[in-house]
Amino acid sequence: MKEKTTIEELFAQYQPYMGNRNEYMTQLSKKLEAAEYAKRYREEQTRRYRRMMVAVFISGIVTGAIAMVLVLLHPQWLIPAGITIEAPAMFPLFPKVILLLIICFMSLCVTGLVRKICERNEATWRRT
Amino acid sequence: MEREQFIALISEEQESLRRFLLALCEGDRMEAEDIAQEAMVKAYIAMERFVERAKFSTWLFKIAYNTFLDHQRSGWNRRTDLDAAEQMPGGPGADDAFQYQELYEAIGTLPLKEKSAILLFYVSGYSVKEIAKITGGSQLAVKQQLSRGRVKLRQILER
Repeated sequence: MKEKTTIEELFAQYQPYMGNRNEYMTQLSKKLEAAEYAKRYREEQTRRYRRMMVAVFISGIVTGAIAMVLVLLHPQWLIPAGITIEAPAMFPLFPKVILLLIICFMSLCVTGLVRKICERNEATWRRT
Repeated sequence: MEREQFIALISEEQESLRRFLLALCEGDRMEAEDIAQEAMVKAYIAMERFVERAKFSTWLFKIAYNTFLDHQRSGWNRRTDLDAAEQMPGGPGADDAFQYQELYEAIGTLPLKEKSAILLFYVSGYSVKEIAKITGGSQLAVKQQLSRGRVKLRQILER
């Protein structure tokens, strides 16, 4: 029983000086404010990134779809533009594949453009 | 939980938490303060996830304990004695390290789990159930850690 008291006494005497409470809380409040600012900044950035991704995705789909519909409805429009694709006898799908590749390329260009615009907006937001 | 409510709760608990961490870090005030601040910032960021039914101090101590473990894993405590001496602050806090040297030395001989259980029990006054929640172990394991820790401490104190 005496031994147990000794351990308890050892810890009962343990009262290290922890500094001025108000001073500590003032410093801590500043740190918490900074943490909150960083948290809000991160959340806003994530929201903006998500919005940008959705915009890029939708613009890619829409551009691709429009281009495909136009090309399929009016294939003759490609002739004045100098795009004539002869189908080799062995590959009848060759022109369509080429067209699809062109459409994909166009979609990529548009999504790239949208992304650039979004990034510029993001940079402007960061500066402000 | 609102910011003001959080600040009020932290204001009540911070001293007890820092005292526990100081003992857990065996008197290394720099490390203890670092962990305490990191834990409080983590708690602040995660305060929306705090369930009102739970006890705030237990939740805060759990975060602090996990932060301490992260520091241990990252090798924060692998500083040399010379580094520690260079960073030792002056003022009233500096004397504590010498005043409680016997306690820090005794605690330093215990394995981490026993040390944590003993400190949470004796320094912070938590029950076995609460210690189990904080350390993430079972109540039986905590009882064993406390028992083993007490035996070892007695042996050291008898010397």
